Amino acid sequence: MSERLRESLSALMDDEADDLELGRILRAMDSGEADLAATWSRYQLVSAVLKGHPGSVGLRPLALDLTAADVEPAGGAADGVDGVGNGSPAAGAARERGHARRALGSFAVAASITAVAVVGWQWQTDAEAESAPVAAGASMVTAPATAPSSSMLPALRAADQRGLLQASEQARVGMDPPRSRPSPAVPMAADTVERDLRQQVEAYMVRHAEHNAFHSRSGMMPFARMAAFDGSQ
Amino acid sequence: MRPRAYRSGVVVSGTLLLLAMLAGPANADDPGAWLDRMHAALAELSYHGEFSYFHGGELASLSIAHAVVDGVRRERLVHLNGMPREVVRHGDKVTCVLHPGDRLIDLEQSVPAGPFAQSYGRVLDGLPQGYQATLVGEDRIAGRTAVQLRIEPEMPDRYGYRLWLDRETALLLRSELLDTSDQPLEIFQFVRIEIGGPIAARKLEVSEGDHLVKHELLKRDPVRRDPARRDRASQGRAASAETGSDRLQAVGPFALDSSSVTTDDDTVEWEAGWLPAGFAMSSADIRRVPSRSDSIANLVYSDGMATFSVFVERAPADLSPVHVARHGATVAVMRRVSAATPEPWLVTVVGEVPVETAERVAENVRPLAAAGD
Repeated sequence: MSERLRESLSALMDDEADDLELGRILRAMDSGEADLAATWSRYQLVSAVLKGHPGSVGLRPLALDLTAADVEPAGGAADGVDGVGNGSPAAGAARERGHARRALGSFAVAASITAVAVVGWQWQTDAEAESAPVAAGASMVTAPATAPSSSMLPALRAADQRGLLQASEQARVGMDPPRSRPSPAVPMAADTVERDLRQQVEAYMVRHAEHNAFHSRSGMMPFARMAAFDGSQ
Repeated sequence: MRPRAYRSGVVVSGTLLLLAMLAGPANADDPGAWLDRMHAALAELSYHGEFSYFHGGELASLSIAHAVVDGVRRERLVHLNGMPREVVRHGDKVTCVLHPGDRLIDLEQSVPAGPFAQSYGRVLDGLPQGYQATLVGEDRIAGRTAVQLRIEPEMPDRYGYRLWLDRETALLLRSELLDTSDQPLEIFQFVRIEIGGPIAARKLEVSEGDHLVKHELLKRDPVRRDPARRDRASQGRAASAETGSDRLQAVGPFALDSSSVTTDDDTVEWEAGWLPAGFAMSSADIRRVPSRSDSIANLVYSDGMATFSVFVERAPADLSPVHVARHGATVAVMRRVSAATPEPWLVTVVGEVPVETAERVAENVRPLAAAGD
């Protein structure tokens, strides 16, 4: 493993990886770089110990360690994102609602590590997210427009706090707000490719549910998934 | 109370039932035996009732009727809220009945229907590999006494479950799918159920009406499989081949059955280069896209509890590298891959697994030809 890759990993740990570094890590992952996962684990372990959470990480695969990095208590994680994402109005709220991250954060980081557009469905499990402003969808669109990718990660996290997930590099994807909220249902700023893609993802979800329904021995749950697939949009 | 009306043709269910009978009262404390009984009960009992289904912050209500009539499994599920929808199963045929304007129709059409590939031998006895199960105690669901099972994954690469089974019949009365921090991602629960007794025929029939859109799903014969390739691919999941795999019929990556595929393009065969331990292919399929010149490959993997699907198609131009979406317990990861092929492909992994797992699977989907090289 090259020193440069190590540096990139380290930068990623500190939420300071830029486009080039993220790209380098991604390429290394793609090419099955030998020590990548182990190095990442070591860094996580060191970081966890430094932050006083030993034992919270182990020698898990890279993707899982990304989760470990993110499910730390909000305080520790907030330290890492200080100074970035200042432009996002959601950043403060992100810190306030840190505990919501437990359910959401792993998704965000796993997504951001792959440098990414997140096509959005809402995702919220706690009642607190209900109090998020109706305009949450709109704030998604304004968030990372021209921001460098180093601010993407906190922006993602901020987005998570509202129960919405969205970040993008080149592509901007509008999101449907949760059905329970009186918000505009029309995706904003979505270009055709992304909209098609989104429809494709939904179609695959339906296909997957159908397949499960067809083959599963587990009773009606897969059927329910299919029948209950959001049809109100 | 155990059902008697199964036919010899229902080999799987019959075997399970036999196991359940053997396991019966003598192993009342064995979670694996309860799971076996649950599967048998779901497939063979007559029951009807209503249940709630909570997912992704939404609550749906559905009614269900299930019976085995002349040895054929029949089931009908009706969505009680919002757009009327129903799913009717009659043996190997599943019909979805939708109303015009239902968004599901568009979604159905955007991926071509075609028959489903046969699902291969993913018949597991008891508890699948990779999980630990415990009996938690008794509870009461829909007015019936239930036994609560907790099924925990040994690794955080998949979800856990809490199941409530009817103490008398082992029918599933409530089920929770739990994320890696034990929060329920979806909950299914009967609010009313009647078990046993005859089911009125009309409760199992497809609704009729000129305005209804019917969409049929059919099983078809398995696609051809190449044993040599299977062996090679199984090396890729060596980690999953340690214990318990003898209970699975390992199934290799799919190869296209020329009789069922009409694509003109150079078809590339795909496989998962990485799988969580215990997962193996349960189905493989390919579909022609009428509106485009290419086709979509569809692989399905299961560990006996969780399932995910892999779709591979040619990538549209100007696509960002990765997309992630989520709906209830179902996550979807779309990833553009360009390694090892001259042109970019789009890999989509959809399933009820943690997003990290889906991402890792997506990252490692590869052309079959590259497997052993």
